[in-house]
Amino acid sequence: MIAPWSATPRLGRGEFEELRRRTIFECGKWDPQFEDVCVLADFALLVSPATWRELARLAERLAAEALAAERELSERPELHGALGLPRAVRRALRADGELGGSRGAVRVLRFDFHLTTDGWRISEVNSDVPGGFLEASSFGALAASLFGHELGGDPTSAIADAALREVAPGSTLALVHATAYTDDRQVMVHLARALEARGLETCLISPADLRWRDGRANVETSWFRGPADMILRFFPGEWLPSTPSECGWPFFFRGSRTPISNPGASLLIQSKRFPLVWDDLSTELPTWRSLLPETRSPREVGWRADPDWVLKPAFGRVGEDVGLRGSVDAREWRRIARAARWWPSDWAAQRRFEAVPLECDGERCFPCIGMYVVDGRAAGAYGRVARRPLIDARAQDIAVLVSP
Amino acid sequence: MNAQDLFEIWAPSGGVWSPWAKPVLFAPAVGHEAAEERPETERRSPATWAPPPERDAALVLDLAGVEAVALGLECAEQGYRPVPLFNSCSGPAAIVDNHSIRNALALGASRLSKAGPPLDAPPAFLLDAGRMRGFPRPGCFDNRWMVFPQDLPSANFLLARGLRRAVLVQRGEGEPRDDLAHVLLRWQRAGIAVLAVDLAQSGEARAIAVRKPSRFGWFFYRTLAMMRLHPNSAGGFGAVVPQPSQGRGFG
Repeated sequence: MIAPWSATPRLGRGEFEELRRRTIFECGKWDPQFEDVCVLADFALLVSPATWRELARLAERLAAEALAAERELSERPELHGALGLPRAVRRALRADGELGGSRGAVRVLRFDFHLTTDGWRISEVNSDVPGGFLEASSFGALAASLFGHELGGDPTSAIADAALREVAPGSTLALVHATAYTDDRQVMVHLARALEARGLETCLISPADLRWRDGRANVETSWFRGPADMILRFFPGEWLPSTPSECGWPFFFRGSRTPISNPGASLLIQSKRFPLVWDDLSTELPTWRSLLPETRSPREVGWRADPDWVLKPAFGRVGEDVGLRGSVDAREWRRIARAARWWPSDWAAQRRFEAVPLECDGERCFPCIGMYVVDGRAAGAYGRVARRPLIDARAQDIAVLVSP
Repeated sequence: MNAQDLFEIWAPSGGVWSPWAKPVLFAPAVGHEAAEERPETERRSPATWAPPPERDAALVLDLAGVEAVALGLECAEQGYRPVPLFNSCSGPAAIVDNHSIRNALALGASRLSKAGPPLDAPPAFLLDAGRMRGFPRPGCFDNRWMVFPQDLPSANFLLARGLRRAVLVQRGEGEPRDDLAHVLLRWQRAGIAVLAVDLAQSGEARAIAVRKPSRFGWFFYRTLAMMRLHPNSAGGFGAVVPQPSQGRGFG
């Protein structure tokens, strides 16, 4: 098999230091270090144009199937229980019939591709609040200029352009996020710059700063008061019910006349338990079925005895709490296994795949390519690379470049 | 002086501890953040405390933001390298006042340049003791924050640099704050002696046994802590944080 990717040579220390600084100040990356490790890789991942086209094609098909399934699931509340959704979210989604689903706009999804011994596989879709735009777009562009290769796409520009198709210049976009977390805020600041460059106004707020009138979102803060013409959400959907009731969080799920990217219903396909309802849907999911490893309820399979099963929380993010025996330490595995035994409805068991490592200067590493799809079109990639076959908070961000 | 030049003074290229310096308060203010920028004059530290002359200690200055910067500068004059770990944004109606810290960092730059501690000098990590203080109000900007083990070097890294002691400097506190206890207990268990200094008392360093905080040692402590704190959250830690305790990342 001809490898579909390769590693560029590593940057020299001085060059890398310069890249790191520019990423902080030109791209606005405020979290460049994780304990003793720089979260930016000092080399880039090179894929051939054919590989890029293949991943883009697969991602677009996955997105089309996923959104069709989401539409069907929105009308099938009897299936929501199987997805592990919090009760309050299920209640909010059930009310769809009365108020109508909240208006979605600028749909952004990210599919995380891994190269395995069986070819490309996906581990999940990030359909709720996919991040990594800053790294995929700005850090990627800096790396592309340093390494002399092309960036496959720019998700930030794709999102900002799509927003401008949705609302008129001069409109106000509310960028909703967990304001206390600088690593979330940096994403919002990054998007705000791109939106403002296109003549849109932005307001960086928490969901608690929203009030709803006639299904329309209004911002009420000490520095801005007025209607939001669109909402860009970077606040996990399953956390929304924990915001104060006067903020009207159910409007993220139903009844909003203000367009929302992404609407709350995106949680329906974000759940790692989404495959458990496939057989109950009339929507065909052939690309998903071919690319996602077999996924079952932990109740149905012998994951305790069979190390081929990986445990995943229904709403885990950035690899958190993934029970990959042999890759997480024994104590962590015990804690994850206990949680899956006690609350199996909140977990999924997925067949393990064997990731193909990439060699870089004699060192083995495991890359993952997160392909963005914005409004149905492939729009760039967020690369991550880990020293073990598990992409989590210890993984590094790596630029994904297209070789000539 | 632009943001990068200022950051270069506090986190110089090639500095052993520079990778840990948090850039957020050095980044140019954006949007509504800029509205509250105001000039201030440099403050001197009221502390009479002097850091240990031996070069085997890492200092952790967990003091009201401006005082941490001021004492950090004094430590720089005594051969320590101040490392700013302030990790939240500034803005109008913000719960945590980061403007004064931003200003203190800017105003202290020339003094730090003059002190010129070596690039490999022992570190003095600077934290704002008020990072979790206050309550969210409607319309305010919740910028409270916490420190996590991944925000500082590991015990192995410190030991490899010959640092066998950690001196925690606080005011009016005998025990480390809960979030910082997660860091210090890891260090202590790896063989680093932890001492505490209360500037409101004698200023004497005394050895302490760091008590075990909840969820200690969990790899995903940060995420779990955030999830736990999120109930009633207003986008930040929210009303559920009356006692500073434990934060997160997604997608």
